[in-house]
Amino acid sequence: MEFSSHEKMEIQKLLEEQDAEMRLTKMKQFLVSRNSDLKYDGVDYTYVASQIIREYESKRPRYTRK
Amino acid sequence: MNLKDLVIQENEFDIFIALDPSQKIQFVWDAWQDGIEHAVERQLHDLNSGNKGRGIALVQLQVLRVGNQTLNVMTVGNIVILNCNNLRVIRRFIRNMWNNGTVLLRRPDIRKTKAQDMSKYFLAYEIISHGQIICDN
Repeated sequence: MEFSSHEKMEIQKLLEEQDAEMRLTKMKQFLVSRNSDLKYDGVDYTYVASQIIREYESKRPRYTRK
Repeated sequence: MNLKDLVIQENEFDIFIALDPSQKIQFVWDAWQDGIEHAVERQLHDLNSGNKGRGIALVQLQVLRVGNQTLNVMTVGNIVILNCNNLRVIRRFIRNMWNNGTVLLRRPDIRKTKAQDMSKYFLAYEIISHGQIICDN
């Protein structure tokens, strides 16, 4: 995915947050302020959201037969 | 709860994976703050109220063994998709659903995706309504 320099800077700011809980909080605040719209000021935050949720998606539980 | 200890279990994961990125963030946030049950309830509520259900559908996949055949039953909303190498197994399953009172409509417009639907036969049906159990006698 190609980003403009402005997009890269904004995305980097969110991703640089080392604390996962703080990163999620910031993303949640952003979503509340944007009414769940992931695009703002030319920046598509879908990439950031997918980075945050990636670790949960990767923990696919082992499915058991019911 | 500590965020790194958050584990999404099998049933909740079916819902989680069907969400769009913003809904997933909301789901993880709710699960972290109030627990997984609350997160599931909120997403189901949003889906039912139609507020944020932007094209998401609850997907459920069941793999059934019928003799030496495997029947994959996928439900997406009110659509039932059956995937099997034996057509007879699919027909038997459909007849059983009919006899249990489920009114089905064939959906030939829903086509097989070659990369994902590996089995030979692929049939999709829409559940129109649920009625009384039908007895052959």
